[in-house]
Amino acid sequence: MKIAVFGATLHAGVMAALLAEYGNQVFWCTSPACEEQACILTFQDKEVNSYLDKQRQAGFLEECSFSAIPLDAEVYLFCYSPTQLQLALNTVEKLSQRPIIHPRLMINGSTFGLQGTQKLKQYLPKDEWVYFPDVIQEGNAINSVLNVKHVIVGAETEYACDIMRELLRPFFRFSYQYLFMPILDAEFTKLSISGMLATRVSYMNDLAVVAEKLGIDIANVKHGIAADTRIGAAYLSAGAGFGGENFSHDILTLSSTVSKTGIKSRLLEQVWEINEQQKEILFRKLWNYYHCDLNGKTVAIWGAAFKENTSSTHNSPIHVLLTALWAQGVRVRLHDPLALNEIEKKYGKRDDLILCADQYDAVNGAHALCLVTAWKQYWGPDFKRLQQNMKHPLILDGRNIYDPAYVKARGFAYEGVGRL
Amino acid sequence: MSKNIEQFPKEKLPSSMLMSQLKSLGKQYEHLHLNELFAAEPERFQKYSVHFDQLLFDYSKHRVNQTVLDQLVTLANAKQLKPWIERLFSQEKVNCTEQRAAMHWALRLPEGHAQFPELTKQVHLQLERMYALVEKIHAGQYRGATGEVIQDVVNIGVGGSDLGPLMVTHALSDFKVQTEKPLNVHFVSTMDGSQLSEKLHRLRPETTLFIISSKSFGTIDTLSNAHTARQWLEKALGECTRVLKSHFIGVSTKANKMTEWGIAPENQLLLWDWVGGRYSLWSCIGLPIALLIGVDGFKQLLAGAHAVDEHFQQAPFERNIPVLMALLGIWNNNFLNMQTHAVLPYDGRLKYFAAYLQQLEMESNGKSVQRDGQKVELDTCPIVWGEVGPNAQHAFYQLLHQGSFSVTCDFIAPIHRYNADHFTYADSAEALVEQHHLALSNCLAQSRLLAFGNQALNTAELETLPIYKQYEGNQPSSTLLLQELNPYSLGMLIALYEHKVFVQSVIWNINPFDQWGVEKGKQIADQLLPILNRKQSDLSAFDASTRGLLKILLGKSE
Repeated sequence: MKIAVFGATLHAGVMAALLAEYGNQVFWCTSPACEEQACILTFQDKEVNSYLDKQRQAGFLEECSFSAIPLDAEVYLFCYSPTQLQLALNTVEKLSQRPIIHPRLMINGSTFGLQGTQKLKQYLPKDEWVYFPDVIQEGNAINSVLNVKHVIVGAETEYACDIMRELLRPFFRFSYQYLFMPILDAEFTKLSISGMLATRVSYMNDLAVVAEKLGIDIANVKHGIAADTRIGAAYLSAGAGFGGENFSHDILTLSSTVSKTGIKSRLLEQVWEINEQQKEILFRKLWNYYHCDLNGKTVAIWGAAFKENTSSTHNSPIHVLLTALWAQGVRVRLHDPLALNEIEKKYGKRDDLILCADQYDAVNGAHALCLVTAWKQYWGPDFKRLQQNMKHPLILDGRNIYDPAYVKARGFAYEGVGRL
Repeated sequence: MSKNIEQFPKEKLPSSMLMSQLKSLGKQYEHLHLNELFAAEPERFQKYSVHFDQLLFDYSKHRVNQTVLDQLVTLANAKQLKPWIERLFSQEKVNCTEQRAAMHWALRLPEGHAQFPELTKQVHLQLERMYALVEKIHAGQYRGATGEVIQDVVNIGVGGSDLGPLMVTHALSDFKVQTEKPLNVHFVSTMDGSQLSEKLHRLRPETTLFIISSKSFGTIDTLSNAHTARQWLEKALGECTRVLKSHFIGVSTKANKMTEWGIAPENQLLLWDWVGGRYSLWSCIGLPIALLIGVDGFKQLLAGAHAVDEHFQQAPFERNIPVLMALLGIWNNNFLNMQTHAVLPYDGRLKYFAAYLQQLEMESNGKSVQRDGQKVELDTCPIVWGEVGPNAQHAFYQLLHQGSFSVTCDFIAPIHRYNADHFTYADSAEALVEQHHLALSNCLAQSRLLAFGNQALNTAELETLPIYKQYEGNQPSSTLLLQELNPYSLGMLIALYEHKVFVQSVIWNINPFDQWGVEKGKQIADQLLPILNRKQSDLSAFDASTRGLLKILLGKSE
């Protein structure tokens, strides 16, 4: 099939690559504002890039300008980020002015909240519309699409279902793998999944605070819960709070949807609040450790990205942590393998922020080391070197990646989240 | 000292002549009806109103005309008002019984003021410290002992350390600034702990900050509340210095007493002996205000008051609003025998304004001894009372309209309201604007009916009206219109009354800055406390009534 893809998100990249991989002719309009130039995008995720490169060379994928999209394209896929609704609307409006033979299949792959697909449809009412939720996980992009057991599709006509099935047939071979439902239901489902995951994390964080007070190790509790097949192991880690652009956006959208319907439910608000509180947990531990006086201290931080394998610091605990530390007169020495550029762009040059290219350089003269992101390179550090470089051997582990007993035996003061 | 305040130049002869002239004028006007005055001078509004900055003062509904006003201004001059104003706005010790200056005006001097550079510097140093604290709290970066963000601030204070900030925060509730985390300000004053206990069971120790606001840092009401708050915190968070350090701010003149109590030096905000308690909301005592309306809002409040300070010093008495307010009060009180004065704001946000003025006026001018130790020659401060107008209409207005007392009134109303699209009311602005118009129409209606009585009614209706439905009218009133109620105009309004009180004190020749009448009671309470605590048992020193009551309180009633 000839497929037009719009948008510059990771979702757009992954879908363009996968559809091209299976022989579709993909025309990718990478400029979100539909300008008349086609730029070649590269992503943080190297796997995605190599998939894309392969298809560019094979000729199945072509980045092109808006006007270069062939008029006989059968499927249009819109993959904008949640904040780009206006750009998406402009794009469909421009499409409505082209001499296309309707109906075509229009797939909304952007998370614009409830009725988001309907908003796009207003400009192209004669076409068949489908909502195909964005389930991409940063740092694990290709597999997060390929490894789902069931694919959720919001579609309301037989025709739309048929074409979707045909489009996705190479990835999902069995008919039981398709969960068709009305578009609005699918949109709500997409938000509800994020809501459920966030609720699990906040629930664990809430328990971690209690566990700490009662002398219980949350790691044991986590493993116990995960062993129950009714629950499963995902999203049960207590820590310094979740982040990420799309995930956070989903929770806020869902929570405001709930409150706008006038339903008296505060669950999601609380989930969000607990998470915001949790982002400060390392600060609070530090504050307690140093008896409410942090003025003039130096703190090393490992990790700024909201999770490992991404350069994004969107809604990452790092921001809350930096603001809190600076307000108390703390100097921060920060290391992150990928996110330092984004941090520098946001905060500029300042005396109380030293960006370190080397993780051991960051701990020089530090009164504490805070671990914010569970990058693999942080899991097995040279403790002797840390001990030598740090002014005071205190490790605050915001992702519970270390073994408390082992770290303490190396002569460190150690605190995790809900650990002993 | 070249100028001695005690020995005031006594121009007995012209002063007493003036008095008798005014008294006979008073006799003449006592039974004159406002209807007649308005008939004689149709242009009364143009003639008897003053516009200044965001404020309009209409005093045409008073039983005055040019003759009366001229006489009153002459009286003010005879009482040396001009030199007295100069003394107030100097570092002279105009509070003679306590040998202190009264420089609340200095608290609102703009930064870098040329005339008093040292004083201004001193004042702004403390203000800046307060502003830094406010910004930190607003940024959600002021931390309790556990590192959680402070979200509730409780002001513990009484009298001037309570009424002023309480009145202003209530009045400016629409100007609440948005803060990083939700922030609530609470007030606790009563010594029996009833307000405090109600708060404590709702608040979380981890996120609560207390301001102990006491000029002397010795007021038992405040210290007893502070002690309870401290115990509450220590019970939850442990007894350690960091609890005190992270959860208490002190505002006082007495740094050493604050330190002794356990307030960390960086959490001590200072004021000075030359600020009277009831004039102190402009200083760091105003911290709760700044917490609500933000640093810029607080600066606006000060700027409004400063504008009135300038007006008071510069405007000729005939156009000087505080002077006119004071002289009209003297005329009504001393020459027309109307000795109660009601303050009636037509704006629910000014709910505590009357209570605030009760302290300002009655604690300042409720005196009977002149500066020279003689008994006063004229009656001093009238009974001041009041309530939000529309609510009072359903309570005591009956007495104003048909009772046997004469009462003078101040009507206060903002011209515009709900016009700034502020988040606190934006959702229902349209309907609320209509409610405001309803309040305004009631405000005008009431002052009209009070002044003109039956004449304000329809003449056809009048003929058939039974006597009990009739209105005599002739109750004089002033109307103060504010462009809108905002930090600046409220600053103006309060300063107007402060200076009004001062002008009246000059006419009566009393010291408005002391309050010896409230000091003694505190001492006697100190004698009684050991008995109720059962540390002493000898009742013989007390009168029969007190003895009887004590016995019941001790459970010893026979």
